[in-house]
Amino acid sequence: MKIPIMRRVLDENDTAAGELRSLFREYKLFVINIMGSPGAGKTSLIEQTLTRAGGMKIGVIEGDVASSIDADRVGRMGAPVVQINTGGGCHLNADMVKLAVQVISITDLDILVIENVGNLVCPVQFDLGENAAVIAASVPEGDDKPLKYPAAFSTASVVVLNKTDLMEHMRFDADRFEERVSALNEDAPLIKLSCSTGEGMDGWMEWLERGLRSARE
Amino acid sequence: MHELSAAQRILDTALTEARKAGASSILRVNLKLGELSTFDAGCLRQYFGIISKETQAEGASLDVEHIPVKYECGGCGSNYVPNLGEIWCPACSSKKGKLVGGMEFYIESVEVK
Repeated sequence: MKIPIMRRVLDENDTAAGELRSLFREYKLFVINIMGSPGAGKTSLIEQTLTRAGGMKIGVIEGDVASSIDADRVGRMGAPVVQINTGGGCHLNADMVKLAVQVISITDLDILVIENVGNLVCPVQFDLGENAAVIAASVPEGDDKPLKYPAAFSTASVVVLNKTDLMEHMRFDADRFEERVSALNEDAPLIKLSCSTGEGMDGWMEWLERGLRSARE
Repeated sequence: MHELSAAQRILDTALTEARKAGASSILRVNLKLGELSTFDAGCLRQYFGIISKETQAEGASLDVEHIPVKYECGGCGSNYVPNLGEIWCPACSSKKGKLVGGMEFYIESVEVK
């Protein structure tokens, strides 16, 4: 006898992510999930965002296999932050974020930034209840990354290309990178910036402010 | 490593459904897995084989049907399965795409007796 099921295997994570999404909506929070390779500059992007936050209150959830290095960096800038150590786990899941939001006081926040474990593979499969999935890539990684990790780039809400100040030292074809992102995901804007020089950060901040406005509507 | 919790979820679902149907054993679980999904079929089978021992699902096969990656062209609207390597629409050569298939991962059915 064949019993039809038609149920997602990750249904438990989906349920937890749905609960988070309702919670975030209740507080009119704009929540982003930053994913990218180790060393792409995810934490640097958060630091640069905090410097330019103006009146926006930003809280941060840091995900790493081990250490509190990232939470310390962000905490030094005065932002509320909680570190999740996955102890070998290669991605954050919605249950981990549910625990983290009990520690961090989200009621006072405008924006919640979740920095996922550095990895371009499995984090994209786990919904965290976020409004936007941010893929952070960087020039030294090469312009072929969209083709090598198509799931990450195809499901992104926005793609950030960091370390543009290194472009002249690298064999990186910016047009080709842009073309590849568009081939996989034409709706995702591409924001080129450098966390070292600050070039392009205005475009990122505008994107973030637009997101916050839409979350408040 | 995330295949272990996925295999556990598949087993739990199969056991619950078999119990509801009053079945004595589970013969097969049919899965649909998108080719862009980050889960590995071989790894799922291996874990499923281990954790299903001494349950009604012992010896059951995990049948995985792969769903191809599919993009919708922003230029002409046609759907296509991309090449490995550079990606563009084979109908109009546009490089504006949207992913419409290939991330699926669900239990389609459970076969019991």
